Amino acid sequence: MHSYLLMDRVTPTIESETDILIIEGAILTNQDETLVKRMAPHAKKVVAVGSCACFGGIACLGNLKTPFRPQKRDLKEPEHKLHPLVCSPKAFIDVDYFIPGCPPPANVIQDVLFALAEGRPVPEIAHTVCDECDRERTGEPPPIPPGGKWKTLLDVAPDPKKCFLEQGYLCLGRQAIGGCGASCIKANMPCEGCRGPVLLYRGFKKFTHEEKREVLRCLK
Amino acid sequence: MPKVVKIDNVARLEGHASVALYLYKNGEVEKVEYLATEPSRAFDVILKGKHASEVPILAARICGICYTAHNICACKALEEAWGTPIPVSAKKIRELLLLANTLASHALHTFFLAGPGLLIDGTSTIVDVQNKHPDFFKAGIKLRMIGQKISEIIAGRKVHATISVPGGVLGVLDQEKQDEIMKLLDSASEPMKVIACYSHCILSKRKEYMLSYGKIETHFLALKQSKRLELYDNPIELLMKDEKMVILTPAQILEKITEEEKEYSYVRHPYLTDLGPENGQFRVGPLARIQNANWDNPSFHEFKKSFGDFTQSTMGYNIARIPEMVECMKGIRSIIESGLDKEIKNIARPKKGVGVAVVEAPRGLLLHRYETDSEGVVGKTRVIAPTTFHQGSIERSTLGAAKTVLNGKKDDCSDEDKIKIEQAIRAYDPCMSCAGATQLRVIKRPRLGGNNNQNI
Repeated sequence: MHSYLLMDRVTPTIESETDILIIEGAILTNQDETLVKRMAPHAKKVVAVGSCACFGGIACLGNLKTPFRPQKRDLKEPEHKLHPLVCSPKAFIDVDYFIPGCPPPANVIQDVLFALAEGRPVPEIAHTVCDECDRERTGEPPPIPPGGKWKTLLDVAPDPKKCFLEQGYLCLGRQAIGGCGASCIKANMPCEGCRGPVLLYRGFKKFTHEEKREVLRCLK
Repeated sequence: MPKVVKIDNVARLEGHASVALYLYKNGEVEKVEYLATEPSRAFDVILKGKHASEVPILAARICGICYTAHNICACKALEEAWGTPIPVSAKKIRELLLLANTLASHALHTFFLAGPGLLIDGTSTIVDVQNKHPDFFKAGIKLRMIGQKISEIIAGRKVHATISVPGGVLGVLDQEKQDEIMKLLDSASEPMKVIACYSHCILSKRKEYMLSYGKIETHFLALKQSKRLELYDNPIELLMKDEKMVILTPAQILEKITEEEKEYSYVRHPYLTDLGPENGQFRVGPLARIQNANWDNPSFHEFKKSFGDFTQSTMGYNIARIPEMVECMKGIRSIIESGLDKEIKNIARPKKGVGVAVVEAPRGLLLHRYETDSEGVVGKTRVIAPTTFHQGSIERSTLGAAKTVLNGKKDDCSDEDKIKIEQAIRAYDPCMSCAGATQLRVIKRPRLGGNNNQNI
């Protein structure tokens, strides 16, 4: 096990054979890129845990303004230079499984890792947060608020029983991948879609183009 | 010319950092550089132009350990800017979240990161603890579980429990949830006994080491403590080296400090402007909070007995976390016993303004500053995290530790020595991802397809 959060650094193990390589976080420095490139070929399975590792997450918002990251003056060690573009590790290596979420639900991480360790097929999730939510819905498609202005969380607290969208709050539960048990919604907070759109992954593997089209057809 | 010895990827701290030691042939250490190799994630760029209702949710993502403190501090700063009051119960729920977060964070540090090295020897990790002290291992998992579970009960999630928004909180803490929390606290009696033994065991075995290793002289900055652990709202006290006290407001902190650029690190080194970079270093966190506290629990009395009323001991940080964990449990219990009602949210009306706020994060004082326009869109952002305040102190403590460890040795640093030196850094429980949350200064960055430089 090589993890410098819990263990002392043991450098030789970086390039030894690994069963499961778990990657957290986006690529921020050139050193991060080197590290994943060194480690990935020796791992039998690569799992990206968390939204930053799966698709860039909030770290990638730093790219929004211009495609370049702010360039700080060079550090002494060149390997710690900022990467020109913040990105998910999948830009450099093949990632086998994705567990998105900010944070990813603990039970989902457990399911995936246990399945991998025991050689079982990894469980699939192809439903949205909306499917797990038990708020009252009228069944009508949610109305778009006048002028496209959604209510914000600065107003009074939302009604804890009724659908957020029908109350006029922007809730991403209809698009976001489920599996979290709609935990935020149960705590009266609209879904932020931290696990990414359901179109992106199924069973933690990327959709093919045809599958995506199929899902889109079903959603319509 | 001194030889440079590098400790790459200091183990068992949050985020990435390295240390460069400058050694002479006779084993003398000239200076130490603490390199924050975790780059700035530019949260000021991310938050600029976002609506204030999103800001606390995004700000929580600065850190995966003290998310609650960032979330609540952002809310406080925005409320400060707009003059929005919050209901009493909302304040209580925020305090509950902060206390639960502090408990979980301290349990992580005490049992998983620094504890194994202090309890057995420098090279041990959590695996050795599991084999040699299974009760200690179980207590660590249990206490962290209690802290995380309480945030899950209140906010639905264990990590990134972003239930606070400007104007209050979103979820009511009903009777059922309160009972659940109380039941969790009741199950904590066994681990509480274990943590009381922990500080006693370490202090009786290696008291001299705890008192003097990596010791430096600094000032202390923390919220004023009373009979209970205050994390949310109280005046800020600056306790000088000579035990004189100055009361500050959050905005005054920003006026009083200068943040020095270092060419080797991604994080700035703040110090008190009046006193200069040498004398103006100050520390925050558990050690700063305990200096003037007046709590009533056995671990606290033991700490005061061993370290005295005013202490500069760096390793004291490790022990100061124990009474805080006890106080967290007591605090959660007393808040729930004082009763909560259903009024949790006021309407927040955006105004043009500037808001500065502080809360006590697990690692110390956390400061957020936001400028908003009349629509509630956030402009300039500044985040100074506890680990940012600690940069200079960490460097000085590491220098002291390296001098002790390498005394009389040749210009070489074995792996064992490196691990010993790391212990001084670990006492601060540095979180490098918080420290580099916002950018260092106005940075010129290239624009695609042109030579024009653009300021952020």
